[in-house]
Amino acid sequence: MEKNTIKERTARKKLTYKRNQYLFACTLLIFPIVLFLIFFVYGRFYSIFIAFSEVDFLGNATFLGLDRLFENFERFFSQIESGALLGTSLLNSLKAWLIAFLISNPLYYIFSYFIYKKTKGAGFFQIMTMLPQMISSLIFALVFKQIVNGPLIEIMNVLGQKDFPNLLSDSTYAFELVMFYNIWVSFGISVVFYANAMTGVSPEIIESAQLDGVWNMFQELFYILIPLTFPTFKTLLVIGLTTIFTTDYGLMNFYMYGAPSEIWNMGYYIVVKTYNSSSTGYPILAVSGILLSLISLPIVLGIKKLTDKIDPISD
Amino acid sequence: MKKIIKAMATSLCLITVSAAVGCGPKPQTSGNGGGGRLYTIQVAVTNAGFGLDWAKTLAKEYNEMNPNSDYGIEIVDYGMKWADQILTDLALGNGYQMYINSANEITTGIYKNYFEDISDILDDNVDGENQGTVQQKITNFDQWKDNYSKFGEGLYALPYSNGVVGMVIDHQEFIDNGWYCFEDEAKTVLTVGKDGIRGTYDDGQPQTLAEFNAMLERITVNAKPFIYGGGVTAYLDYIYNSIFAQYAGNEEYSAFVNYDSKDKEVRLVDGTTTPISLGNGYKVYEMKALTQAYEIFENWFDYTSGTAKDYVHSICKNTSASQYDTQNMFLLGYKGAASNPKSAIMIDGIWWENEAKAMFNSLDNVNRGYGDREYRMLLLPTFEGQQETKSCVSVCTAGVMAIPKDKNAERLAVTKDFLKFLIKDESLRTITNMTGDILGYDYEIDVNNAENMTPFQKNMAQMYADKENVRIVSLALDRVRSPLAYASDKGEKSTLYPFDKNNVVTLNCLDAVKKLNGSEITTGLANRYTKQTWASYIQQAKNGGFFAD
Repeated sequence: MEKNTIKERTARKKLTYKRNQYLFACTLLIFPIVLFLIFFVYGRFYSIFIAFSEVDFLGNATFLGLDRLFENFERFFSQIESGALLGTSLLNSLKAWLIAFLISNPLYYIFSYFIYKKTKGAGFFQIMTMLPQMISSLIFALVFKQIVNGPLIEIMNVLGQKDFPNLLSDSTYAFELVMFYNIWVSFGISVVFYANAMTGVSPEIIESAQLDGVWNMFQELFYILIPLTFPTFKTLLVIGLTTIFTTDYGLMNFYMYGAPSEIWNMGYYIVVKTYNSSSTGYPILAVSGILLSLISLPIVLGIKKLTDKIDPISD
Repeated sequence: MKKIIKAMATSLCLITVSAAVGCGPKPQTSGNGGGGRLYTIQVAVTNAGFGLDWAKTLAKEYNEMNPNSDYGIEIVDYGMKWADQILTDLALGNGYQMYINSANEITTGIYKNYFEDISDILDDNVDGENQGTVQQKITNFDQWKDNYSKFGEGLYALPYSNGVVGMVIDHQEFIDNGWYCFEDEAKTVLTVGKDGIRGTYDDGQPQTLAEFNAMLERITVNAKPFIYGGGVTAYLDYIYNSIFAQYAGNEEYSAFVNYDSKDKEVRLVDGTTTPISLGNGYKVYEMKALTQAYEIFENWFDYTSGTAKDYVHSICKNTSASQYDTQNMFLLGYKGAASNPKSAIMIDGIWWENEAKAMFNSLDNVNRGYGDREYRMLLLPTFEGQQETKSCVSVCTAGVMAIPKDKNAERLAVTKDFLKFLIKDESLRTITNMTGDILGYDYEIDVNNAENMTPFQKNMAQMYADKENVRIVSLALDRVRSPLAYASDKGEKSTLYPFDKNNVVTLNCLDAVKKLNGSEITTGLANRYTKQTWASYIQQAKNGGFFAD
């Protein structure tokens, strides 16, 4: 009898412990789940809803169905500024992604490798790449902007470049400068991912490779580490692709709503249009969101399939 | 371990609950605020160029006048939050009992029934019979009502400021350096100004464009003619608007703002004329006056042009420069430092002295402190071919005083009473004395007996009172006059700006002249709206209940 009571008590304690664990997990997750439901789920569905609707100046939406959707598409394409600016923005988004991909990824690997190997200067690289992550992105952008607007011009003047332009205001250089900034601030997180992935490679594999003739860092990186960390690269690539038309590449931080039109990208286009539009313009913005999703979805799926095929360590 | 988990779970629950509670309506304060009364009426006031001291002074005065009231007025610092924040506050149920804000764009809030209809106080005497009724005190009441009624009915806000942006000058510097216009070779006698009266605010000022340009050339010998904040170039829009208003004249300017020329012909840039009505309202962007104004504006301010002179201080090219930086540079220019050459004309608002108090205080010991020197505002000269007979100056800061919906009838009555108190002559004069601001009401300012007013404030009061020679045009209000501004995609921003070559609307007038030449500006303006898009805006506004047939 006593044995049973002890057993029962133990079982109850286990149950209580499990329940408390469950409660604790719920408490932790409740906030992010609510935020997700409001800002992602509701936001997305509402956006699709108003693509089929007419919205008055007070923000009241009236669902009008498929006819209205086509009409909203027509309104979107007929806007006089849509043509050139939309084309510019789309192209800039693609350009920005491509530049980031072709320049950033090799650099991520190289810097991650230095950190992984704890070479000379690794600590310095770590600080420089993590600096943008440690400081608020807005403050970092403002400091960068202040330097470009002021001290950089003065330094160049002292060095003899009397007509050194304001790189942010001059549309000839603004795109490249913004790309430089984006590549720099993107280092922190990516380097952490790649360095961790490299650390996860078993030391026995490295030793075995060395026995097989891999005798310098270059070969170790290219023949062992890059293939073995390909899944990480794949994941980051796909995540990056999903934001190709939604990220503004820092233009809001630098220019608020006043970026030179030559360097607009799609993420920035949507933000500025939303800001400048009254609620009557929301259906047009909603259809632009649908269009961008239709464009980016096959790109993301296609690239994912391709990378799955060429993954050196997939089954 | 269990205790730690329990403690973490409890604190997380508390955080979640308190965050949820924090999103709820603002609790009504009582007790300590508003002069220690039972209840507090919180009045949220913009804290920008005019500061808050004037509001706190008047609130204190009102509370002392009503010692037995259960309600006390408390001034809340609303910082530099504008109309969109007010509307957000009210949408979330977090509003204050009254707002005094420098922004004008609360119209959608009126139609969403966020604000009280205060038309019941229009016939109330402001303070005894001598000061007239509330309605009588409002400058241009009919125009004001157009902006702040609901489909022409009721009234949902009263005017706040009527503060202009213009060309601020140091009177003594202009005399000492010979920059003014003089009657004699020895440069001892200033010419009389537009008002024809010697010894007033506009003596020595150039009357024609040729005289004005000659003045700019004289200034370039030892100073930079213009100074403005490179990060605040929107101020130049008000200079442009003043130039435009002079070229356009009263009737064409009204046609531009209302999309209605009342059957009168409006001059277009191609040399033709046409009457403007709502249906062809987009044609206003082809008005000749717009292009004429841009020509003048470009000559004065476009330092990037190969042909125009560089009349601007280096700080104008620094896109991070704030208006405080500009004021500091302007005030310190007397030192003649290489990095900060003297500048003659600062583009700033009527509030600038109040805003620059910190710098003034630091210059007290060199007799350049607050109120030590006489500053004036330079009137625009007469341009050849302009339709206006007066010099125009544009209002930048208008703003509103509005009362959100209040179910507490007793509290609402006190709030309205405080609103009436604010527009008494004595209160308006207090505001003007303390800030230099001239408000949107008809009231007399006796500059000869205004001990606290600085010379600049007195000059500004004279300028405002010179209705024969000066016309105050309110770009701030004009932008939101037509329902197309708030009930359609047209929007109220960028009223004066052309498209650039990518068909993106330029950021402001300076951005326009830097990016585009004269013919590109004309094209960029004409391209702003097509017949089709304009018709869609009208339809959107009609769907919202406006322009009933």
